[in-house]
Amino acid sequence: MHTASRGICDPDGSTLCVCAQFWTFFAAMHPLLKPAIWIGEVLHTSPGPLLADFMPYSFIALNVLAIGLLNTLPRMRLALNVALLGLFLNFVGAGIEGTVDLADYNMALDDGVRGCPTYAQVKQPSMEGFDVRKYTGRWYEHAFHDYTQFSDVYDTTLDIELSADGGRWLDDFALRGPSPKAAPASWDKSPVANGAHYFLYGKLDAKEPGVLQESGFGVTFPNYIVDVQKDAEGRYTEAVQFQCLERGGVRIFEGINFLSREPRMSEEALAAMHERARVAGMFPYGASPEQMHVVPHVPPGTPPLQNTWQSAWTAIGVDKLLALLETTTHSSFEDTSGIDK
Amino acid sequence: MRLTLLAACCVHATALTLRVGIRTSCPALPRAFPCLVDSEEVAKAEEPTEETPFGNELLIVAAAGTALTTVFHAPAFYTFFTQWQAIAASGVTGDDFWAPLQVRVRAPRLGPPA
Repeated sequence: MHTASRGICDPDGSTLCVCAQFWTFFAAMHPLLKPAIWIGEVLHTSPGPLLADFMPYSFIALNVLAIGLLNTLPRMRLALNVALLGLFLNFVGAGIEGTVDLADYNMALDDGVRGCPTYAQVKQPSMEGFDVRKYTGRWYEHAFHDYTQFSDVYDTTLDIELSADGGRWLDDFALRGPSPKAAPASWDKSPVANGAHYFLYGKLDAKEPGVLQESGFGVTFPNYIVDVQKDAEGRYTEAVQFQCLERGGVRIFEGINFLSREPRMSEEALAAMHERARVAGMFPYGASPEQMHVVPHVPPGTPPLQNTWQSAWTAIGVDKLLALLETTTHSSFEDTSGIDK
Repeated sequence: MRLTLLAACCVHATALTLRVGIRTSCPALPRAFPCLVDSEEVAKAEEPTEETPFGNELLIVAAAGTALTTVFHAPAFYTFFTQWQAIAASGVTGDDFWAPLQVRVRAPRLGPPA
């Protein structure tokens, strides 16, 4: 068993332990997010007058009734808990079987093909002479196959920065959620309706341009830039990324992202990206159209949402909390004192 | 023998509860042998329990549904756990293999691992 000197999970993200935590976290987060969005929809579609232009009295009454019933009827409370456990098991089981959503909740291990490919197996000729410095800046994500993402969110972007020494990168992943499609009544009242960020760190491989070891959510896995398209000046305009996490020859996670420098992408351009991914041998890993989720984007220059709920989130400091997270992440990224220790 | 009697009494009480929705207690034995039973347990056992007439039915339906869904997805769960076992068998240590379960049992949390 464990000794005191040995951590339960090694912090370098290399053990099976952290991989299992990674899988479990996302397997659980998806079924937890769905009812959260559903409750938001019930809240904002409840009929009747509002309390302080904020919350329907009928929703408050419904909550009081539900809490009162569950508090006074322990057997009904137990029945509800058992039913919720059953729904959770059903959702996770369906995710392992791949019957929920192949784009954002394909939780099977080794689905389609065993293990992860090498970079040489998927790297496209367009990657010859790849210059990572030209890869920095804003990318818009147009489609993904990735269980660390949620198809209920939208407007996902990646802002990639290189460290001063050029050896590391910071991927500032931004999103809004839930989307108007996923939550037509409540999308504009969410605390992250105006955007939220999370950060992934990468260590570049000087010997193999286009490959980095990316760290996030406690694990480290290779992120391959498989294909890039260039404009007349040689700037990168489109990219296909592929992350793959494998332990013991079994693939635990695969992530595929179709990126471009523009917030709009035509159906033809998207179809061409699928075709390039097919040529790269990525269809068995989830790059086919039916296994990817298309991400909607807001038009450029769209002003921030303003309403009672957004004012409330601002009043309790949600915007400051998100800004603080971003500031501290950048500070720690620029702190090179811990590199290679 | 006393323990057998106590267990039999509780088993019958539980069975009766499931059938008719009335909670019966088995107070005679605890009263007769107060030194064997924690006083808080006795107090709990004597608390009247308010319940809905549909409480048992709901619980039975929920339990049956949970059992059915588990059986329905059993092949997928079996394959899934077999794959983790294959990873463990490939050289990852047993400690590392069981640690996630230990973490979940000891310190359940919702946030991503640090």
